[in-house]
Amino acid sequence: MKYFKQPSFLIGLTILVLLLSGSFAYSLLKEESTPSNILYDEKGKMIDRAPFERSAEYPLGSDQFGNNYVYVLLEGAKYTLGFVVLITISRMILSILVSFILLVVPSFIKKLINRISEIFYFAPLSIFAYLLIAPALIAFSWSYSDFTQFMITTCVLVVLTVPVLSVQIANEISILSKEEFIQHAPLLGGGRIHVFMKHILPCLSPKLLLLTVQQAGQTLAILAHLAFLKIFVGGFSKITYTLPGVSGTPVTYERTFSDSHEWGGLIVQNWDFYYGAPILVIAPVCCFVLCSIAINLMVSGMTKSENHSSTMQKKKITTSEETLPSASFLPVKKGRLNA
Amino acid sequence: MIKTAGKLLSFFLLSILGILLFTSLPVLIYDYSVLMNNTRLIDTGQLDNNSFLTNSIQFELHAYLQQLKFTVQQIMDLTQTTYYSNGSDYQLLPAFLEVYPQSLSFFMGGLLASLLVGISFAVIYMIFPYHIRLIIKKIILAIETLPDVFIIILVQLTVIWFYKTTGLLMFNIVNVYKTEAYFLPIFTISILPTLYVTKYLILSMEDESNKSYIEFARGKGLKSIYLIIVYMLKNTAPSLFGQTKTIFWILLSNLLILEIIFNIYGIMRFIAEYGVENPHLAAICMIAIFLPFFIIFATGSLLIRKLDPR
Repeated sequence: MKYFKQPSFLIGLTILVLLLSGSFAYSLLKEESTPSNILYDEKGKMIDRAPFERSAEYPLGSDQFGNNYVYVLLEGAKYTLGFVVLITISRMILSILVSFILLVVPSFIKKLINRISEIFYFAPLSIFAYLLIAPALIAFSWSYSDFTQFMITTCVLVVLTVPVLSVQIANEISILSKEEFIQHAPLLGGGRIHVFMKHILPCLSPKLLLLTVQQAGQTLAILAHLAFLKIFVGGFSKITYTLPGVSGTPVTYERTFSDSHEWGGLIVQNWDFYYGAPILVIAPVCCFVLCSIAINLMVSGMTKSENHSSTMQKKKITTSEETLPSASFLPVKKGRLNA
Repeated sequence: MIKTAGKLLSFFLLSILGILLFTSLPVLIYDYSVLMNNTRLIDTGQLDNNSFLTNSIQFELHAYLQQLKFTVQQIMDLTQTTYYSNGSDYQLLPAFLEVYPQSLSFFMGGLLASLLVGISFAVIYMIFPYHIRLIIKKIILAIETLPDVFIIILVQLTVIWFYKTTGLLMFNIVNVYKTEAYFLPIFTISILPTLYVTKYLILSMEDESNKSYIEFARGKGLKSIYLIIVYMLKNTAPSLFGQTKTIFWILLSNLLILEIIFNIYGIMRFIAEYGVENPHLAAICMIAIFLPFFIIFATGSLLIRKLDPR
């Protein structure tokens, strides 16, 4: 893999792998214990109530039950990252399959999909996802089982970008198939599948890999947005409890808790405490940021190495043929307006 | 000219069609008539226990077409449009006109601010010597990849921290009754679009500065600031217009998070709150967001076509 020679790609990958493996290792090694929501010092004096302040033992404080927040976040990492991986991979597989169909059907369908999917510019992608997910998860959540809710969330997040993505992949394939060596392969007796596997896929795979990583970044961003729209991706449970109110009359509170400690779920769950204990919201947001930085580092490493290899090829060509493009004195506009 | 107008018309119609088709999708996969009926019963207190209610995913093409028809009818007669919330139906227009102008002013202000500041940043950037430029470019590219959620929380925390240490409240952070905050929201949502504009312009201007006509002009002894503004900016700025869609999209995505974190009741939260139970409302809101964009886009592309027939 030439990408491993790029330090930024390597750093990004290391961060993600460390987070994931740390998360799995923690849940394997974790010993079951019920946390106490009151903190005592050595003499047995009560010093704090959950959520605790930050201290040496609790670098990020604790949640309302007294769980150390660092471990809560670490435990959530595998759900968030695992979900991102699941969605990204299913998106890519589905898009590749759809792009095959797009290559066969008349080209105006591709154009039509392209034009209609421009509506995704007129609202954040997360709003589109929200409109499809929220009926099952928020508005009519009483009608759907946990499994259905999870399946809907996954399917919506997967299908949402398939139109755009498959058109993009179909365009890449049709550009590639105009190359001379691919046009001549059927003449030598290569079947469709053979040509695709042996000739198109090797040229396409770096682009597909880049698209995959970019899609992962985008999925992560959507998950963070959905958290702020109060959608629990990793399952939730509602707890109703009654406390004496100000004037003595009991007040019933209903709170929703994230089952899996998934980062987005942690944001939603602690949103009511944002002004009281901002660290409970900011820490998961920072986790999202860390992952998205890692993914962007990977993307920049990959593009750098692709550019590097393509300039190397160009250099070889120019030295062998010595054909320099004739310089024109006219101020030529580069990007044509797409009006 | 006519060709451009035709393209714009088809763009307009297809976008509206796309919005209608998409916002009616929930009706296709969920059994809305039953679900809404149950919601009404629960909200009005006629149904206490909802644990026995179950429903599944379906594929109801007929209901979908009905919903499309219903949405179109509702859009045709906006004064009569109602939306359901919490047990009763409300008129759309008073509530909508409360949230829409404010959000509109935010994203128009944001678009203007990000274009102006972005262009001036790019010009200032080009004046710097080469090695400083490399550092600035790296910083811009790094900040640009940060998620919008993070940037907006950061701005809010900074303002709060500033208030705590100095006792000076620079701007209204959240909307309190009748004192509307304008500067801070517009500033916050235009940070990322500004960086995007700056990035796009500096990349294309650096590309432009390697061209032979710039080198020729430099050889003639023209001042570099004159070159930057008169030649490079003039030749790259029109291509920025093609990026309006992306800038607009970044702005909207920022606006959503801004409205949630700064507790501003705007169009994005309006969609999120009522759009789920009323698919036609989501369609109306999205068309309301699309229209100003389309007006800008159409005038812009007609203007450019006229100034530069190429």
